[in-house]
Amino acid sequence: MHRSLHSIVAIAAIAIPFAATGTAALTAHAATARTVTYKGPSMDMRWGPVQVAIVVRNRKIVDVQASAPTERQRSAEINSQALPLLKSEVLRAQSARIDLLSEATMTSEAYDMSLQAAINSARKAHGL
Amino acid sequence: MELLIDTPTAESRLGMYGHPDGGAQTRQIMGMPISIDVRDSDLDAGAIDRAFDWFRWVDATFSTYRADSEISRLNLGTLALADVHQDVREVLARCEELYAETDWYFNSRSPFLSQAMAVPPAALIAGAVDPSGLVKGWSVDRAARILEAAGGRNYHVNAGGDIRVRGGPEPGCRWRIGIRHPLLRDRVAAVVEADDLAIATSGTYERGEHIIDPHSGRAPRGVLSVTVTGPDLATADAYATAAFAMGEAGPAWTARLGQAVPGYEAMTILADQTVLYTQGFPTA
Repeated sequence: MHRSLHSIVAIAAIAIPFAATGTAALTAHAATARTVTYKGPSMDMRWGPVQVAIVVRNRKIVDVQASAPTERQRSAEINSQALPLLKSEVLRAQSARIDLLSEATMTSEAYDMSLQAAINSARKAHGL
Repeated sequence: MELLIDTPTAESRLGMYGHPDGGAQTRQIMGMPISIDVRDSDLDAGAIDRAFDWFRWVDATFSTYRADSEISRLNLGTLALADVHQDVREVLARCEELYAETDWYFNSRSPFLSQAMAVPPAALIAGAVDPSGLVKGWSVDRAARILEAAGGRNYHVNAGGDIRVRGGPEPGCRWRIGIRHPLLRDRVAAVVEADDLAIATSGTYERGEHIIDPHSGRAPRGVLSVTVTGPDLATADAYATAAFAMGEAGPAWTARLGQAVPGYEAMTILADQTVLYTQGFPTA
């Protein structure tokens, strides 16, 4: 799995308000007269800290940089730490008496399709 | 379009389990069958109808398939966020929280919404939202409150396989909820027994791969279904969707879930037919 542009932009969306309000956690480095890099505070996500920097030129975000461990490294670490916490057994087929059934439905279809559309459009927009 | 499906059983296929279901009523609302079954003889008259009316209002207000819903008008820019119903505000706020809680896997905010929606993509404003993934569970939680206020203490509400139960089908009995076997349609993989719980399942078996990992753009691999139980159905549903979208990393995320958010447990069925349970998963 890739942590792609989509999520990084989302993180940046959170970082921007901090930049706008001039939070003390931010540091600004003037690169050129018009280009400024803003670093967001390091944020604890469930899988570890993430820090985002955005590059702003003429009031537009021209680049977003996120420092985070790679997905593969994190997944491996998480699996080694967390999987022993789970009980494991082989899938069984039962025909027990039940009152009702929990199952996946297609009802979240709109939500899922919008996700797919978002990914497709982001790819298109950014030439990915 | 609403279909009336009054059957003696919650869903006809449950008949194969041979359980004499009392008086479940089923309506087709929000694009799915919604069943309500209340076993309390002293329930206020009309409570079940009010619960179904609630679901109809939710559909009219939140549906992305209706051009005149508040969500559609919000996405068109013809309705200001400041003017939306308080329930809409509540749902959107919870979506934002869950986005962060699920490591950005539960995503309802998108500038590019589905082409299947009533609003043409080109007409959408920036920051358009699609809270459908949360609305189902949230509306069941609220329907349960309607039943509780009317004296309901032994009931279940089942919206397309996402369930809230309280009490039991008869005195001294708790509800038994089967978790569908992902490969054998007429079998269950596990049974949950509960008297006050929400249960949500995400998976691929119903209509192919319909959940997409928002970070890779692909259907998650290695996982057939994820079931999450907990006190709140909206939350359990979002967690199940997110954990399923994570693919093989999902089980590990669920292992930490119970520590991060007490009360939530998960069962993941992997493609190799291994079943992984968090320690407190309430199997019968």
